[in-house]
Formats: sequence, C-alpha cells, structure tokens
Amino acid sequence: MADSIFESGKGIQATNFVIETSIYSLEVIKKAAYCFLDQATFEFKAVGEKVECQVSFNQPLAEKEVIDFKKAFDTELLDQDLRQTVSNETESMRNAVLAYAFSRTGLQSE
Amino acid sequence: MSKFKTLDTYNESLNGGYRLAPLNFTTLDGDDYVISNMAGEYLVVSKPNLHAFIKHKLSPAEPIYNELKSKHFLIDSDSNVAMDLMALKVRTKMSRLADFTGLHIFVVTLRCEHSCPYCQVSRQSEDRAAYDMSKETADKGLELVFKSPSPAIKIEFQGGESMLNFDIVKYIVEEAEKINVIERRDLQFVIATNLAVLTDEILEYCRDHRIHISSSLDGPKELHNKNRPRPGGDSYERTIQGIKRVRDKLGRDQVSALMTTTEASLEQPIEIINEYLKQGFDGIFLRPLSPYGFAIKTKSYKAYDVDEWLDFYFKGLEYIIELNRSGTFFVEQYAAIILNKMLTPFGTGYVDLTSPAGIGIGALVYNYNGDVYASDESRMLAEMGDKHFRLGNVHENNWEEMLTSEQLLGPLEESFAGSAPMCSDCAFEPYCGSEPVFHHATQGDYLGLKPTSSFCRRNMAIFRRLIKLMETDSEVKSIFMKWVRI
Ligand code: SF4
Repeated sequence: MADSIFESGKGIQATNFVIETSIYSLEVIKKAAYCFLDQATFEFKAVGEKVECQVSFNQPLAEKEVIDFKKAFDTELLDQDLRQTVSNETESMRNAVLAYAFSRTGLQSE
Repeated sequence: MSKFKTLDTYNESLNGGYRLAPLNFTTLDGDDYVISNMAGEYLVVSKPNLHAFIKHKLSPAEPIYNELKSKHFLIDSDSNVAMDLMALKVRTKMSRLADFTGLHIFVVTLRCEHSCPYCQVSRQSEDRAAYDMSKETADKGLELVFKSPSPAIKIEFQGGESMLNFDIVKYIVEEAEKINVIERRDLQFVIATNLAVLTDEILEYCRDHRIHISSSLDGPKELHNKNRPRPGGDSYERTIQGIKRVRDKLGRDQVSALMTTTEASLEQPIEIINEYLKQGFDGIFLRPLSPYGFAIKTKSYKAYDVDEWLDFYFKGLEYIIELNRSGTFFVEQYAAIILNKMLTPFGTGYVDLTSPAGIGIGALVYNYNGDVYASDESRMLAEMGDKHFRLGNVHENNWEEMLTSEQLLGPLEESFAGSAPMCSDCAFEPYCGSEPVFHHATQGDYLGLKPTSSFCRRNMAIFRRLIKLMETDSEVKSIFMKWVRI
C-alpha cells in the first residue's frame, strides 16, 4: 500500500491507501474497512487496477497510532481474503446444511 | 424438483486431499485464531496453521489435522459422514425455532411501592383501574398463550410490583391450569417480585400452585437500598426476610435472585458476589445495565461505558473461578449460557443471545392494557414512547396477525446475524445474538453497526476471555464443564 498522510496541529486526521485489485478484491477491501468503522470513515475510488482508499480518522492520531492502524488494516485484508477463499469453497455446503437445519422436510433433492 | 444438492454430495472420496467445511475465524489474541463451525464447535489454531489449512497445505501428519477433522472443519476421504453429523448438530441447535414461543410474560400491574431510579416502567400510583390488568385482558392473553406450539410453557408475572395485583395472578394461574387439563403442556409459573409486600397468604398460594419466585438482590445492604428506594428505606431487609420465608415455605430452590448493575455496583463485584454467597445462592447473573427506559432518560446508561462494565464482569468472573477452585460450587450464569452453546449441542432460549433474534420466538409480553410486545425490552421501550415492537393488542388482533406482523418479521429478518456484515464472518456468531431491540434503541436500526455496538464489544470480549481461559487452564475448563446444562 502506498500512502500519503494529512496532518493538522492536533495530529494525523486522514491518510490514503492505494491497494492493487489484483491482490485484494474490492469486496475484500470493503469488508476490511467495515471492521474499522468505529475508528474511521472510508472513501473509495477505482483508479485503473488500483483502489484508492481515503481514510478519515474519527479523532486525530499520533504517527505511531497510524502505523498500528495500517498494520491492523493489513492483517484484516489478509483475513478477509482468506475468508473469501473459505466462502467460495464452502458456500453451497453451508446452504445445504442450513436447508437441512431449518426445514423439517422438502428442501433437499430426493 | 431439486433445490439443493444432498449432503452426500459433499462427502465424496477426495483422493487423498481434503475439502474445507463451512467455518468462520476470528483473532483470539496475538497470533492465535478461533475457528468455529455452524454447530458452534470451536478450535484454537495458530496463524501459520490457519493459513496452511485454508490453502490446502496442511499435512495429515500435523496433530492439528485430526482435531480439525474431528470437529468437522475439514472433510477427507475417511470422514464421509462429516456433513451429515454437522447438519444434525446444527438442526439440534435450531430446534427451538419450531417450538416457539415458550415464555409468556404477563405485566399484571405497573404499580410499585419502590421508586428505583433506573426502573423503566413502574408507577407510584394508587389508581388500580389505570395500571392493573383486567380479567378480560388476562383471558384474551391466555387464549394467545395456548396458541403457541411450544410443548413447554412458562408464564411469568411481572410489574411494577406484581404482588400488588395478586388477584389477577391467581386468576391467570387457575385459568391456565384449567386450560392445561386439555392442552397437557409442561406448564410452569414464575412471579417476579421485590418481595416487599409478600404475605403468608401469597406464600401459601405459591406453594400450592408451585409458583417459582424470582426476586431482586443488587448486593450488600447499602448498595441494594441505594439502588432501590422505598418508603422506610428497608428494601434490603424485606428482600432478605422474603427469601428466607419463601425457602421455609416453598423449598430452597423455589427462589432465585436477579441483580441490576448500576454505576454504584461497578466498584463492588466481590462484595456483590459475597452477598449472594451469604444468602445461600449458588450462582449470580452479572448483568449489564439495561439501556431502556429511565435508564436512557436519566443518563445512567451512559454513565459508564462497556469497558468499565467488562472490568467489573471479569473481576467478578475471576473471583467466582477462585471460589470454585477452592471447592465452593458457584456459577456465573451469563458465562454458563455461553458455555452451554460452546460446549454442548443444545441451543439456549436466552433471548439476548439468539439469532434469529429471540423477540417473539423466545418470549411474548402481554402488557397490563392488552398490548403485546415481542420482548420485555420492547415494552420498556414503549414506555418511553417508542412502540416499534408492539405486535398488537389482545382485544384487537389474533395470534396469526401478531406473529406474522411486519413489527416482528421485519426486525427478525433484518437483524439475522448469519447474513449481517461482520457477524456473518465472525467465529463467535454461533454463541452470539442479533438483538434488534437493543440496536434499535441505541443505534436507530435493527441490525446495528457492529464495530460501534456496545453489545458486540461486550460479547466479543467475553467470548474471547472464556475460550482463552479454557485453553490455558484445564482446571478452569473442568469448572466450566460443571456449569453447563444446569
Ligand atoms: S455481534 Fe459482534 S461478537 Fe456477535 S457475532 Fe456479530 S461481530 Fe461477532
């Protein structure tokens, strides 16, 4: 992620991540961002094969806190990407289990 | 017509490889993750193992491989019934849904002689006509109770102070017993009371009709009386004396106590637990403060944030674990509800921790004036002027109209954690709930934004702590095993 930061006298109020969509899908990026909505708001812009992600913190952060935030965001991206892998592989199985669990009869093929 | 593939489709021979089964994962701490499946079975795995497993690079020689297999996280050529077993377990957990609604709460009066500042609903009034339930309303409520398909029915009386309208309690008990001669349900009665106006006559009636008494005890005398002012300032004395009288007349296990947490409680988890021990209880429910009613109005909900409450809760839990280690059996009941979900194949009917939400499915509330609400919290919200979760009125609507109303189905559908952002990916989802009433009250929508939800923050911290404790200390795990299914 290539980044720029926006600083005021009180600390860092916003930052910019650029993420390659060949590495993480937009779905994964949005899911990761969702988990941080208690700390920041996000704006996305698609630029070619990249997504520009404008992050505005709810409260100004110190430089170290921004570094920690980015690390946590990176970990979340990785986790969300793995979840996507699990979901792609298991979605139809999940639906079959749920169909069985929620219904008394009739949802499965003979 | 085929709508879904059969479960067998997923059990095919895999020629030496393995297939992932549906699972969620969430960080526990450091590099450890919790993974869970739809049946609520969990495993703690390291980050490298998690990555190797999901990328199909985990060798069968790794010890974690067999653990993953035995808990249905992976299917290989030897585990060809894995999905059938998992589906059966999920079905067992979901079985409560078909048997809705087991708990029916009758608010027999809003009148109360206490004036607790956090109370959402009570009225200091002598006006019986204005705030007491009538026989006509009780009759209509009972018709609805027995429309429920649940084989077990619990009728709970609440107030105000329910004993101030004990005539209607008697009426409902006797009418329900008459109906049940034909219905033959497992019928139970509970009366929620502060015990301050308990009489020998009431006690005898409760004994003869096997009515369980649920009282309120907030902690040591000073704290309890501060939380629960009444004329004479003797709420604690009356409660303690009441508990003793119930035990003498009805039996030891016929009285339970619930505490309400206030800002003043937060400093005293140990003292509160000691008070419960002193009064001979073998457990306590360390409850968060309700965000409803006067609690929001008087700002007592905002007075402390969820982290302060968690601090209080974990201090209490740690102390309770120490009590158990030294031979005193004592349960923290909120943890026990969660542990039941983590360690057994059974679901729990606890309304706050179910998804689909417990509203309507877990409980229905018949207010003194005939209004029907989807949960106790829903009627508390209504007392503040927000009738969002009012399903109808016993005099105007029938069972079908209320149980298929948009007021019920809308929040149930919108808040379902299985498809909610963040919850649908969360390893703790099988233990958690969706709480549309809480999120509506605190965030303005049924689903709630989970990263800022105090419900999510509180529960996630508790789930993590309970799992961490079991992982790191086998003695704690065996203590917790004794708490489940009790
Ligand atoms: S509310 Fe929070 S802890 Fe509960 S399932 Fe959703 S994300 Fe997980």
